[in-house]
Amino acid sequence: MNCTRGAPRPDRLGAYAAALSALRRLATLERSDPERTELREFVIGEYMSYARYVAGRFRQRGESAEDLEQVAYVGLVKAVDSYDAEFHTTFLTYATPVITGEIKRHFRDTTWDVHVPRRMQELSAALRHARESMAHELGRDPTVSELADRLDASTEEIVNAMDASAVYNASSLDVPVGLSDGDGATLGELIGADDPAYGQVIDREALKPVLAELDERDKRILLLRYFRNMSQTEIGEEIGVSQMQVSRLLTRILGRLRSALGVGSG
Amino acid sequence: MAQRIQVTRVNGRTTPEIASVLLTVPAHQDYIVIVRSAVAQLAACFGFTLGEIGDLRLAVDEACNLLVAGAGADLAASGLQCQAGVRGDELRVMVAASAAAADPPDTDGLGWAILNALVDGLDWERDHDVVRVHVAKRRGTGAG
Repeated sequence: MNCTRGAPRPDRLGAYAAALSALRRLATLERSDPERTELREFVIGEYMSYARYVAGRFRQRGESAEDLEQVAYVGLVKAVDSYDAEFHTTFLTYATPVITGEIKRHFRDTTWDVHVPRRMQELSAALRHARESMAHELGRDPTVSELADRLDASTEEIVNAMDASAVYNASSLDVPVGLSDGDGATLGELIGADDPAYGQVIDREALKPVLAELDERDKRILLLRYFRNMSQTEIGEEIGVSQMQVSRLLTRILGRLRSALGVGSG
Repeated sequence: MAQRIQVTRVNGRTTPEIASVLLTVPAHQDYIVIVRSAVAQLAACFGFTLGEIGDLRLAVDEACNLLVAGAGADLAASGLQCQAGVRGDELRVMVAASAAAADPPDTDGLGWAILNALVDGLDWERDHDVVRVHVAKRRGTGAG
């Protein structure tokens, strides 16, 4: 198998041995030593495939593979620069958590696709909690002014925070990984969107309660797909997730629609 | 292009019975957010819930997109008009743009059915060279 993205092959370990001795030598050199730059580049280059391998374990979480690899490389560079053979056993056991740490930090920092001011992020989180607890207390969805009172914010801030949470990309670490039906190639068949009679079959009243259970992002995805006729890739760009994830989300959303509307799968 | 924004609303805690918002923005995607936010703020002033506002925003967003779908740089100047008003428990939004910029909706399609299900009233009309989309959303219907 000629695959550089899998787990390191045994002959790769031989190459790592050369990299490891270079790494040891690197640690002994002064920061200003001209040989350092060259050695550092060599070592980083040698371990790049390993960084990609680590990045690969975080795929299917809605981030593009290239972005993940870039982040993994940053982690690798950090690991190379901070590795100390006297303290750390092998380079890989030291580097792996550094690289995964970098990737996790990336997920944590960038799940907000659009830069949202801190106050908005906090308000947005507070809003979700307040909405849930108030819905529980009141037995209905709270109005914006009720939420504003509870959170000591203006209605304007609440509406803006809604805007902020609408761009929140939920494709973080809590997204289920590896749904087996995630290829999405049969989505059109699932719902029969090309069938002109469909609109008459599912009337608005039947759709209403089903849609009411979806969150705003899911509804938006449905509209982008079936109202604007966007491709999965275009939808991904619009809401800031990968095409793969759009595919998975659509499969899930349509699955819910289908079962709720009693449309047979087929 | 200058935007005309005119808000008729009595300030203060007491909610006026009737309020309306008129605005004109360039017929371009980048300006849809202004229309969407204005409608959302209006709904917020009138005691709509977050879920209702979310649906309303989605519907207004799609309606506006429909109206500017075919607009190039030349048509952007022709403007996208929005008129939103509250009457009793219902918020009505009318968005209009030049027919040359608009992409007539496929009202038999699933997309239109979904959009329709998010609101309490949805209609479109073509009047000579203007296309209008009407959206209505009632307060406290329990959707969302």
